[in-house]
Amino acid sequence: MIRLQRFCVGVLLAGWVLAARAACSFPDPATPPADWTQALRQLEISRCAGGREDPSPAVKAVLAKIDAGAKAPNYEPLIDATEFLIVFASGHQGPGKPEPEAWAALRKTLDESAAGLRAAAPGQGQVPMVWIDLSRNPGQAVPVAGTSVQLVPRLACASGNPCPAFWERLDMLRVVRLMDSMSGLLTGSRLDEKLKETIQRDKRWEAYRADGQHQYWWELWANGKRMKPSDCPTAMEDGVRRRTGYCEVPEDQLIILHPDAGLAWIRGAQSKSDLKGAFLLELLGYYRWRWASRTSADMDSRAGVSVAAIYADRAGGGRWGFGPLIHIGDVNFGVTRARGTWSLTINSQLAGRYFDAKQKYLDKLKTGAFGAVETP
Amino acid sequence: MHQIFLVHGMGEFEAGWSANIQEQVKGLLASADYPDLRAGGWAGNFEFKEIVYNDVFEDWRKQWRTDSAAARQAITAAGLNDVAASRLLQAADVTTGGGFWRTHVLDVVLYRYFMPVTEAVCTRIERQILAHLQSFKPAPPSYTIIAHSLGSAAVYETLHAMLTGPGGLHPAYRPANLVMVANVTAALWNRGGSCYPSSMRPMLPDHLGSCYHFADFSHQLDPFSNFRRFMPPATWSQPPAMPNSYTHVELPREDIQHVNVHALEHYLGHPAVHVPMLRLLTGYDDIISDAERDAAVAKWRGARTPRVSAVAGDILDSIRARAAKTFEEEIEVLLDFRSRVLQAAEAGAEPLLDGETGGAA
Repeated sequence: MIRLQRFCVGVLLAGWVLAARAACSFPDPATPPADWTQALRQLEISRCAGGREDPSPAVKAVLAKIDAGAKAPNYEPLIDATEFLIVFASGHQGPGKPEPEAWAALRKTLDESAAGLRAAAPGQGQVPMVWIDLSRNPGQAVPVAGTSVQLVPRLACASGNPCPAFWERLDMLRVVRLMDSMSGLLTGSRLDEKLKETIQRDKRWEAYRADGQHQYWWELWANGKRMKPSDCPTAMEDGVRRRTGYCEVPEDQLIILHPDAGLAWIRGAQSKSDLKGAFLLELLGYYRWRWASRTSADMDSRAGVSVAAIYADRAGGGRWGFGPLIHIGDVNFGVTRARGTWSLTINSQLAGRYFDAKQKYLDKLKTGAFGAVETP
Repeated sequence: MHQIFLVHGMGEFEAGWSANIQEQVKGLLASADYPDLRAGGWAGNFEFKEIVYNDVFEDWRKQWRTDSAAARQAITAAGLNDVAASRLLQAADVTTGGGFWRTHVLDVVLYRYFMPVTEAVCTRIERQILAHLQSFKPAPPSYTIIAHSLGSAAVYETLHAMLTGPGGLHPAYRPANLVMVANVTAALWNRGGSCYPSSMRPMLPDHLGSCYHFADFSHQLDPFSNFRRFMPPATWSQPPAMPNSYTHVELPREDIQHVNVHALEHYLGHPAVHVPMLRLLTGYDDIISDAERDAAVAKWRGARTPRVSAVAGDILDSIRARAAKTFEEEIEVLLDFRSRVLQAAEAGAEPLLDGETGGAA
């Protein structure tokens, strides 16, 4: 049974490897393709040239060094890889070799890349951006070391005939893609950091909407207006001051004409359902919080206060009362005065917590749970 | 493989919204009109990643709906009969429910005037783009962003925010191509100064600029992109910018196959739009010859239904004649445009395009 399983896994793996190879179609010099230009462009756009499926021993050797560079504490494996490519590029230069200018430009940029890595402090290593320019614009002429290089031009090779230019261009493409991979390795941590920061900001905006004091559209508009001067970085660009980057997610908000539902406190109420519904209008208030930590999207120390008008149907009929409304976390309570009488209004969360706690206390009394507690 | 991010415009878009657009682009990549593309099997070299940001608007709308319903119940429970309180809740309800104004125009208003929404939308777009790029570590892929309508403004501002300021993204992660369809950036730009900062120019030396190639597609009768047109200064096409790094195509008024000239499908179907786009996607200008493009344009024009084109042209001309100058006027124009599109669909003359549903109107 185990042998059968291994056999099946082996067949699947072999199939996968074959499929991967089939996806990367490197021409066989003995059987030239019908269209050399198409063949080269396919190897370019599929990222096969200079990639993991590239059968070239040189590519495999450089990729192994780049992989080692990912784990190494310094840039030695990457310098080694670049020097390997310098030798590789040198092999394409010399009397009678095609594309001498393009190879000279690539060789010069490889030299710069190696020198840059040798001089770089840990964590600061980069390779010239021109490798990215070439990689992203294979069909365009790109300035490289004082000359212009079109990495993948239309090849003047007849269908079915040998095409030395193809192999020359394929090797150029391999060098560019390998240096592109090295750039990705060197800048990858910056992408990670940027994404981490973006996810945190996204979560904070979500918390701002859902966990802060809920805002109606006019409050959202007004609080957005308040953000500009204090929270959003700006810089001069083209002689004009513009916002740059993103705004900080605020840590406070105004409460403006905010209608809400509340529960009017009734003396002697036994449960939440005994309380009476009240209409609550926060006229003007302020609510603030802190982010739990520099990297957190959790709100901490949420609190606020507003001046509220509360309408409730009390003994003697419905009437408006006015007074402060206090927010602590997700609960709030208001103490208002109407016709000389003070009254309390709470929100549903506070009512729920109060009566739940009360019920638990009563249950414990009934079961004698308090009696089991030993006193010293 | 080259990655294509698809960014929707205004309206009710959910996950999966781009399925028909993806099929359309794949179809173009395998079109018999373009022999080199078809013979090379190029369609297999692209992967799509759709971007959804409508959930930011929808979450706010849902919250306003829930909160105002609770407050309304409280009014009833308390037995309050107060005109001012009722008016306040009516104001709260302006944003809730269905209808073109609430599900489409309101998105634009929220995006333009409500800073927390603008920031949250850009952040949501950035998060999806960066997370997708990160999945290709260590070698970032080459990618294109195709953005439509409101999505064009949102992506443009996202890129500006992403690439500028403290902690800006490394230029190695910029898109190869930025394709704007029915671009409304000029109307919605909200980051100060003109909407053409140097940092957003394409293909600058010293690795500045927002992307390598920037393409902008509009239609003479599109009431969205014609309000405040995206017209970068000449410097966008001049040195030190690289040649051919900025492409602008404006489709002529006669080129109508559908009343909804604003629809992404309508734009992408036109060879004057999709040929430059396919050239950018593949990276090779000669992948489709000019002769092949011209033949495809002639074929497209031949496929127009003269009656539909004439009726649609008249309708759109009448809308265009109103030439909105303010946002209020533009909203009126858009509402009129929308009702004309729906009338055409209800009359059975044309299918609805662009993720729009009759129920939403």
